[in-house]
Amino acid sequence: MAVVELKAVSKSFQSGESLLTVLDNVDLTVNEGEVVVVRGSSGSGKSTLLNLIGGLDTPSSGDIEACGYAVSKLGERDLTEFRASRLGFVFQFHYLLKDFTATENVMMPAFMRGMPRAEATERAQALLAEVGLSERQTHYPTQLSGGERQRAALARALINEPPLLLADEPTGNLDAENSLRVEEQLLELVRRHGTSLIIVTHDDRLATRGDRTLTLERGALVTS
Amino acid sequence: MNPHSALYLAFRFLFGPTTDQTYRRIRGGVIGVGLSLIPIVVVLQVADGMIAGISERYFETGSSHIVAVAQFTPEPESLEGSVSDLERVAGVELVAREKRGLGLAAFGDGRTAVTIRAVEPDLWERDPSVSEYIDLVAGEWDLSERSVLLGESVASELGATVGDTVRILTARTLSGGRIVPRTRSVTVTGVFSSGYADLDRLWVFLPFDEGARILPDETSETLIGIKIADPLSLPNPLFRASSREAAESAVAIVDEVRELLTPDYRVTTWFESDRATYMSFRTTKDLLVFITVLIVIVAAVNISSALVMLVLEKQEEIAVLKSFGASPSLLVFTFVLAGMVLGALGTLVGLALGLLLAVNINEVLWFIEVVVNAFAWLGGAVAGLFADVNVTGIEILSSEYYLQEIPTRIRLVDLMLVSILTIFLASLAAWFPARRAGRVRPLDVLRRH
Ligand SMILES: Nc1ncnc2c1ncn2[C@@H]1O[C@H](COP(=O)(O)OP(=O)(O)OP(=O)(O)O)[C@@H](O)[C@H]1O
Ligand SMILES: [Mg+2]
Repeated sequence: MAVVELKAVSKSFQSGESLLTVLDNVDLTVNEGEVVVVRGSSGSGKSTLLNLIGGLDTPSSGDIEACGYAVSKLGERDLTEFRASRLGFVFQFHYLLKDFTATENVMMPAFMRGMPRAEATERAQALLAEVGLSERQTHYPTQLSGGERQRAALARALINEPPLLLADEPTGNLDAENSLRVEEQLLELVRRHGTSLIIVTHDDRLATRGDRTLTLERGALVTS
Repeated sequence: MNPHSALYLAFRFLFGPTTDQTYRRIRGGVIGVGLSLIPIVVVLQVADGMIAGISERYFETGSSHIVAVAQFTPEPESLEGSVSDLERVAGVELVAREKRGLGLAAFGDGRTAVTIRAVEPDLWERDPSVSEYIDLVAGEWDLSERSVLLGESVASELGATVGDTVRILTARTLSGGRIVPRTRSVTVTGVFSSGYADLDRLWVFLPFDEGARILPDETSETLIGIKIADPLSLPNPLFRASSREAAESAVAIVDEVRELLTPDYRVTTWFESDRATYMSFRTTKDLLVFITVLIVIVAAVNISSALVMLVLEKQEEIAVLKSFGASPSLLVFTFVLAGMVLGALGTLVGLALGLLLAVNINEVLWFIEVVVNAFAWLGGAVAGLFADVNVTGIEILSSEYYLQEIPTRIRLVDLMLVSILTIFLASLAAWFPARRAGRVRPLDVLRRH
């Protein structure tokens, strides 16, 4: 069953007089539990692609369906519901809330959805343990290393057990050693939870670990 | 949406460990609201105390709780009869005759118009509130034959004091219609003050029989003052009755008194007999409350600007939370709650400061008096080196203006209403900037990184 389905999706940006077409008639299907690696040169539209799937942006034309939601046509209310229940994001930057401890950061998406605080906290602690941060539960982001922050961000993305995880260069800011560790955990977690993953990366090593690797070139997704 | 999580977020945004700069702005909002509450708290507490203090003086020493004014001067026996009838009415605590009229008092070269109050000579002993509210400045309460008690302002107008013999002049109309003056020499046995100058400016007390003799019917009236246990429960727009039963039984007493005395007497309650005076107290208070509420409204703008800053500072957090499924309404609610929390903190600060000031209002005014007078004296001393100046100090708590001492009454209901109003205003003020949090587009913020 398809978790993500893009049909003839195009996205252009108006910059001054000229029109920049970043995605041109892109088709893509991602199946349940599948790990898709997206590559491409800087500015090729990788982030744009993820943003469209996550409903952070809308396509200029075409249809996007994810987890049964017609993402590109959703109103604010359904979009909120879609993100809360079906989607996890990991960005290049960790985006942890600085006034919240690691546990609080991780539990927040579940807590906001209506899960009682105690239960959300418990689940967050379990996830932090899974990414090897059980000793760091009460630490604030500033007290964590770069790799630890990214692992906490990964735990947060998975707290609501989303069927789909979008990761935009999650190791882009990390050194080789930390990259490896985060990648390992990311792959292990999505495999264990049966989560579909679309991951953007410049990392050649990671490319080989996915089920499929796609490259964005001049607005088109090509299998490599 | 989970309201609990909104509260959680609001508290973290306000008091989280990294909120240093935010904290300073927040403090501004809280202090602004706190300070703005001081006037309203002081006005509510002090105004009530003052109105109660002045009103009680009016009806304890002036009009009585219920007053029956004779339509025509009654025969002494009939008056006695009415008094003893009234004394038998359940709930009536005290009945006292009085004849009240206008006259002139003279001493040496001084003369001044007076309101002659011919009262029961033993009123001082019989009515504890009379001795409570009336201060004997000099002499004692002695209304034996040919004696008079002068109000402080009459005494100083005349230059008379205890032991002096003053003349009381009244007018008498002869059967032919000619008006002739009648003079009576009486000895001053005491000088009194009710503590409120407006009330007793013209008063002199005479023994009832003396007054009955010298006051002509045309310019005087005979009254029967009646006191009950709980005068504030009589119908009036200034004070709340202590209970519904108290209000009902007070009205029942008035009805019974009316029944007994109609048609020979006109019966009114204390409020009815000085309606204009009491209503002016009320209007003054309403006006003050209105002005002080405006001050609070203006201060709520502080909350609004604190929230504008907070929403701006938390753009990234808002964007992140939104991309993790926070609904716009949750975010709006979060920041409205933040405003509410600030309003509540401001309320606490304001109530504490306001009550502290209100409870110590007499000391505060005394302190201001001392400081102002010290400066006036200093200024006078310096100016005195160069010119001949005469500095007179000020006296804020003077019975010339109002009460010698301001009684404070703390009314929890009022304080609660003020708190609710303030928190509501703070939330409303927060709502405008909070809406902007709901409208943040995550991508606009996240792309900045
Ligand atoms: N909101 C926007 N307005 C104008 N142009 C945009 C906007 N968003 C993206 N672009 C442009 O679209 C192109 C694709 O951007 P995108 O961020 O998707 O690239 P990317 O593949 O993720 O690059 P990188 O590897 O550097 O992250 C870029 O040229 C970028 O300047
Ligand atoms: Mg990118």
